[in-house]
Amino acid sequence: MTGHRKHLQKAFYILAVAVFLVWTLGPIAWSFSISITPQKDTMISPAPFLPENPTTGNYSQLIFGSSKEGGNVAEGRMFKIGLINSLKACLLVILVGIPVSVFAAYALARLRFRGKEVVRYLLLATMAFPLFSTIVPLYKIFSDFKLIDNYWSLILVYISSFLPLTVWLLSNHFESIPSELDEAAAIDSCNSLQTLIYIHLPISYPVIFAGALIMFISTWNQYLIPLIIAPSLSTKPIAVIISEFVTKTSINYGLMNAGGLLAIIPPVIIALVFRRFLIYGLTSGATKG
Amino acid sequence: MRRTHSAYLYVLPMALIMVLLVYLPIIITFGYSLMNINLLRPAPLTLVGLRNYATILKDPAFRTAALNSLGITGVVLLLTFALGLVFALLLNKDSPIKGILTGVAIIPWAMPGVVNGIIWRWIFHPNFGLLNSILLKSGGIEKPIQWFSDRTMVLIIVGITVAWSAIPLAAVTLLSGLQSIPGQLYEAAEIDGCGIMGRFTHITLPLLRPAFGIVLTTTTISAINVLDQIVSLVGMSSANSSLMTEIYLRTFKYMRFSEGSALTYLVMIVCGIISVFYIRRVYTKVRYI
Repeated sequence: MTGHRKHLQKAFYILAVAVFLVWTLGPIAWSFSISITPQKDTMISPAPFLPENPTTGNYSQLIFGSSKEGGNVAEGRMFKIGLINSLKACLLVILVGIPVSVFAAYALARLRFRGKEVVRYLLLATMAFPLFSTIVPLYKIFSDFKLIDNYWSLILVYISSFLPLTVWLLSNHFESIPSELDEAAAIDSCNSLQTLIYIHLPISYPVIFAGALIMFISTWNQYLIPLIIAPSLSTKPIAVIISEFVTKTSINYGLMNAGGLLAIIPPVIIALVFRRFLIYGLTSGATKG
Repeated sequence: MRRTHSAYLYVLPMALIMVLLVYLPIIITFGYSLMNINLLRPAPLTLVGLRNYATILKDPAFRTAALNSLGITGVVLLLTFALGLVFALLLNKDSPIKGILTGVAIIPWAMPGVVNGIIWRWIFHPNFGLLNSILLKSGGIEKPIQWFSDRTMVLIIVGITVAWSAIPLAAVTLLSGLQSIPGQLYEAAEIDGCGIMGRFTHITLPLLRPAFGIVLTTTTISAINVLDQIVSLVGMSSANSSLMTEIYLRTFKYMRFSEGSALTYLVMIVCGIISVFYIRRVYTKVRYI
């Protein structure tokens, strides 16, 4: 390859990386710029590319809920309650959802039982169901039985919407484990539960971890389910709180952006640090048969 | 493979959750769609057959929402395919910054959709938006453009926003497709005197077909089902309606549960047809040689 052509290729690559970064991070950077702009400066038009008097006021208001600013104390309080509610839901979803997924995936991949193919197809079919197809009757049933605003009903509905993906992901993985391992375990008179615990689990942590990360991020980002069945501050998650900031006319632009950006910190850190696990989880669920 | 009755025990927790919170509610929703449930006007429950479906199909609001959803989906597909492929090729190239680029690439996927909507709202905001600011300062326009005043423009903006969050999944799916193409094919083609473009059109694109199929179906389904991003971007109003906001308003604002259920079923039928293709793709394996 000639030197000239190599340079051209390199220039192309750099240009593509630049477009990629501007497209992906540009909108977030602009939102950050607004979040550090004092309220009075958000009336300037056209907006300056960088705030002239940057302030961390919006962040401290949300994090410390300082009463100095007067009117917006409520936002700081709601924000923190939302964060705690979301974290709680994430932990509970993982604690309950992962064991349920592991057991089901193990049976689907390694055990023979009648109706297995039906279960597989039914799981895959749920991908076509819009959330509304389940949430309308759930709302009515939950309100009849006073289960609205209840952590357990909320997280079980979350889990029901994640199970198809995590079970699919885990059972694809279990299928890839050589069956000689099971046979060896059977000779040592391990029953199926012991085989799962002593043989399969120790070599499955990466994929289980990937499943847990996907559950964390998906729970953190939930909007429609909690909008309908988690209406009060006792269960309402951060995403719904943030969406309420948008519709409130009294709130300033900077605070809205600061709240949104604080809410993306946990999933963004996970995406950057554990990208390998996430991408493995996302692609092996979709592309393997 | 073992045949054991304990297999049913392993599957039981998942089966209970899925039956009670997904499959049963879906059947109930169909029941609702055939009745006359309107929580604002309680009346004795009667079966009305397909009347709700007829009401919806004749309603101009439904036609607007369906056309809007179609337009949004079109924009999303166009952008997701183009940029998803470019980003996949970018991430497939060996480079010292490959790891961090991959992490950055999945950030938009990992964020709450609500925040995604907020971020793009401030790109297109008429007074304090980035785009108007750039255009005004560069002298491209004299007066700020009211981006959200034109229906077509709103659809494009919603499409861009949804695509922004859909591209990461498309890119990693296509990336894993790229990585599964054996390198020998490229070497052989090069020996046969095939240039870069030739290798791309004769090897890369045809062998990516299954991955394209997956991207097409998952992107279409998520573009039809998006709600959180639209709500925080343009609000929940009938002026900027999509199929999902239309279902939400009918069901939870006007409390016409039966009409909402019927509309949900109409959407579900469309998504069902699309996902039949998806399931076929997932079960298809590419033969390389």
